[in-house]
Amino acid sequence: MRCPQLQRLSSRFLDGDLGAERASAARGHLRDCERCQRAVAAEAEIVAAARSLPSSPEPAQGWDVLWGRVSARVAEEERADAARSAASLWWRENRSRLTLAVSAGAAFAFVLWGAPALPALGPGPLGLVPGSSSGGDQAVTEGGPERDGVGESLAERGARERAETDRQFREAVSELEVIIAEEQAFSDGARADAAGAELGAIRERVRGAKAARVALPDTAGRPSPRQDPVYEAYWEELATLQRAAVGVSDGEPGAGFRQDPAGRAPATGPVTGDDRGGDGPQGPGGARDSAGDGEGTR
Amino acid sequence: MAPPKRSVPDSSANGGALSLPRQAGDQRRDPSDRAIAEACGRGEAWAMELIYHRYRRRVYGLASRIAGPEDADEVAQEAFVRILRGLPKFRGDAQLGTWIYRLAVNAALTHVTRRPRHTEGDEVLDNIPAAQTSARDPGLSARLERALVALPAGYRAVLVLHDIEGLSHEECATILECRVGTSKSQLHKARARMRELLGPALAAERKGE
Repeated sequence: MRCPQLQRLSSRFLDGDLGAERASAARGHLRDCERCQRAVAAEAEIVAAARSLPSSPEPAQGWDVLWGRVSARVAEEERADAARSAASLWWRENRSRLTLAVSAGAAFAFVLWGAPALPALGPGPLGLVPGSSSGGDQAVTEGGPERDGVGESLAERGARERAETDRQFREAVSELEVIIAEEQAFSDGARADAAGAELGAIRERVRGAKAARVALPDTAGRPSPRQDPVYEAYWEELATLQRAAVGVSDGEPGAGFRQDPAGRAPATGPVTGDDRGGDGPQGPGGARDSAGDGEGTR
Repeated sequence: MAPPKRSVPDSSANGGALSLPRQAGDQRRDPSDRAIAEACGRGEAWAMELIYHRYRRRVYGLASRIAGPEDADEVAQEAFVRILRGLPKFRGDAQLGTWIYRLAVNAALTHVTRRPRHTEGDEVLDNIPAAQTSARDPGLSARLERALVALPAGYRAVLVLHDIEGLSHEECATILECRVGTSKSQLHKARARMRELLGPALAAERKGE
């Protein structure tokens, strides 16, 4: 073992996470390398100091004061929820599910789009046939349909992903229609009427999206997911649903859904930490989503 | 040097000094995670207080060390609001403690990314007081706490969870929603950065021995 290797493995060595052979090699290297000895000793000292820190400081004003603030905030937010419209509450509960559905479908569309560019290595883990096409719901190659290894071609899976996204959207529109009809019956109705008009626009858009799907070109002429009319329509539908539910106009926080080339939800989109239960992904060293709330922040 | 195992507390651990109202036949003396979550969903105060008392030290500790002591009150408050409002959505597919840690870490990291950048690097090094003469002096702990501020937030989170809270890499990976290997590599980089930050102080300390 040499210095760079030991430096790369020092944390695992200190944590006892190296196998017996590599741990022995590390100990052997440390016997004769003063520089690595110093580095490992310094790291060990930092780790020991970290582990001996008290497990928790305490709030300066005491635990009861903090609890008072927490319970007051929770009460305040629940009262604010009580004042929201039923459509708005529905949107807050469902927007992350819908966004995830579109993201998953669009991401798979991106994979499909990139498949022809994969290196020609013969049938691989995905069963891709070199030089084959992967576009269109009916794509069949010389060697037969592209298979994902479990008996379903990539094109078939793409069609299934789209059908699932489509089903979720249709369910969402139906649910929202019922809620808005109730609001029209029990309120002054102005905003509910506007929301109903938005839903009418959605239904028109659905027809257009289905027509675009049928016309989706195959193989080399197929557009990239950035221009894929199906997923572009879905993203627009999300924005329309949001407007119908909460009355947010374009340009306001969270109103603009945009897809990126990988089909992910937009960084400034309306899915917030709260929507994910506050537990959205944040890998170590990564940047945190600071998305605004579609209805304004607290 | 395996870490002393603290592990994420589960609901069987006895929480803080909370007197729960007695009611025959209910589960309040030893409620399951799901029972607590459901009671929070019904707005039952005993369940919300139970969560607060059981996890307040851990949540506050994470808030203080990831976001900094000056912002700890604000971050802990935000974390508990997210926890108490999110509990009805807790599906029980993870340990409640892990889920609460995840929300607390996310609240802290969100706060860190939204605020203006803190003093880092050399400025922090300048602020680290000179080493004292004893080998394991209390000053090292203080310098370590202050050097934590200079770490990138993600490094800080994994170092706090693993080295200070004593969680396993599997638990860290669950909380940070990354792979176990990522947790290990990030911890290694975090320690290396801490070594850079504290190296001169440690060297001075050894000279004084």
